[in-house]
Amino acid sequence: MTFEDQVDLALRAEALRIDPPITDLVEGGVARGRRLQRRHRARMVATGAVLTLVAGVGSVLAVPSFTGVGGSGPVAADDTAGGDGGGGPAGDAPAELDPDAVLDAVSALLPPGEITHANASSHGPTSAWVDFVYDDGDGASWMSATVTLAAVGATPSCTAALDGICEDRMLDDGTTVLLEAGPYYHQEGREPGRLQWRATAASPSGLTVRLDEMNAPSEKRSELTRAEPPLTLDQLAAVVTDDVWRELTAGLPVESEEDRAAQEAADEAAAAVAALEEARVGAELAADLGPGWVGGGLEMPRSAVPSPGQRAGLPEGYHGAVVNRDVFATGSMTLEDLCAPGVEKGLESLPCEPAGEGVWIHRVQSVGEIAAGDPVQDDVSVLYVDDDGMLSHVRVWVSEPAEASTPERRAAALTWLDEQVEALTRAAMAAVVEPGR
Amino acid sequence: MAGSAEGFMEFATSCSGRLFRTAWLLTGDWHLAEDLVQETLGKVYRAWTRRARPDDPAAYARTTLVRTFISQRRRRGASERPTDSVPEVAVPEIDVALRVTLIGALGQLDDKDRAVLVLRYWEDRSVEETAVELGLSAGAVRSRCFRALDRLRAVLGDGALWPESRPTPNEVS
Repeated sequence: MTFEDQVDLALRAEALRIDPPITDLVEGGVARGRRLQRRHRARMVATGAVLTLVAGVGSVLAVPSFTGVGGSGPVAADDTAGGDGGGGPAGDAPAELDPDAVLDAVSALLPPGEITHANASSHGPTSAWVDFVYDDGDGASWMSATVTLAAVGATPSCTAALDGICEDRMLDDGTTVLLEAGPYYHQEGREPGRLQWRATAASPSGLTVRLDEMNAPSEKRSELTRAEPPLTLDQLAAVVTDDVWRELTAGLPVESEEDRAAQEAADEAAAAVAALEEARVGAELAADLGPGWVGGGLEMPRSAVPSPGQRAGLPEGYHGAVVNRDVFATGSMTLEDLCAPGVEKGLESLPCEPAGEGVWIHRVQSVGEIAAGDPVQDDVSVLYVDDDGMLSHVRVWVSEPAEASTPERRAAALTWLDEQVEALTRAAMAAVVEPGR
Repeated sequence: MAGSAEGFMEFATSCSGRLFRTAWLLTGDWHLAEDLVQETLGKVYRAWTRRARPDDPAAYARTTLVRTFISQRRRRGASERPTDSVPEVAVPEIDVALRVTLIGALGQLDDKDRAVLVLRYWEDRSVEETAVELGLSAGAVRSRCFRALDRLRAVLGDGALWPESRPTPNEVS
């Protein structure tokens, strides 16, 4: 029995040993749920006037009307915008931002519609992220929102990937509102109709609220449901500048600049130690691959790269040629998992081919129509499974932009990959023969 | 349909036992586990009544529990460590000292590493499912799992945790 098997059994036995206090758990859980509901209702009463406007006639947004996109008219906004202290609900200040409360608040600020597939998660005590599908009756839209309270205010800037319209506005209280709209994919010709619109409000006090919407029910790989996202940019701006965000984040304990700097320094020191260890792993891998390979060092940790001589044959300009190795304990990964054929994100995984006792070759290749700017990629991996089921996986990949690729260049790259199989096999077997790497 | 708690009590009664076992492995403390499950059920209750019954309430509750655990631990910092107290429940097949050692060893792990182990082995989640529940990449789950096992091995010693002569879980009531 391996140590992993022992852990598996011991955890199960330990969990099954105890006798859960079911009645206390259920009663306590319901009581807390009702308490959360009461708090929520109290919050919503505080913002009731604004919500009525959002759902009803729609007042004029405090930010100057954004005329670039949309045009069905602004919905509503509170002119105090995304908050800088003061106010806030009475009673105990929350210890952290409640993601469910963020989801509730966004939902309440949208025009009438149906919300499904909602998720809400915490990104630390003062940051939350939510996403959901919103349908106002004219087509489902994937929407996401982020609310973050920091020690100091940030200045939002135009997102390079959103290659469309980007305008900013300054509110009276110093809040910057950034409005962006454009195609989701920045590559020319790639789903130009898939649109992403976004509003970001950043106050000098450190509160940042962002809301994104699309004209499709998911971020990627879905049919478009409408010509444009459901809310105009002014409507998005009304949501991110609503006063509810100031109330939800009032009193949250924000990490000071000094604490943040100290934590960053500690993280950097720990990262430097970890990077050295990862560079050592890369050097070991290079040694197992054999002559012609060197460790990736700090730039490519845990990896090995070919020397110029070893790289000979791979067409000039090709990227990659980086080797990585994973070793999986018995039972934690199977050949079936790694060799599963299929196509995902333009890469086809071919069935594994046997290549000796316990050795399989696995190839992955770009297929289909590849957009200019996207890579044409080819991988080859060697998998080795020992008698106990321990599995090692050593992979090398190469790629180049589609516009540079020719059948001749790709054939030469595939030949080069084939020439590396012997070294990959050596490294795969070495990891299992000498486990603990 | 939003606004109704219909079905919640039945769900909570049927799943709270498993949630508590998971919480026990995560916290190693009876009272913290109780608190964690009640907090989780409270959040599920509100989602259930505010929006709609989640598509897969058990999975929703498990994800909520694990994320609440990590969030609470981050907030409380390192000041709370699992106790060595094990409730008095008679299960003669398992050595009490061994149980304390296991819980103690789990308590030495980073919170996310511990959550990875519990999801992978007790909850039988795949690497990919664990990654989604914890908001990590699949690679990060694998590396955390290896690191956690290494740490446990270092604390417990290879072979010390579950000698071959010990009963299988099916033999444990």
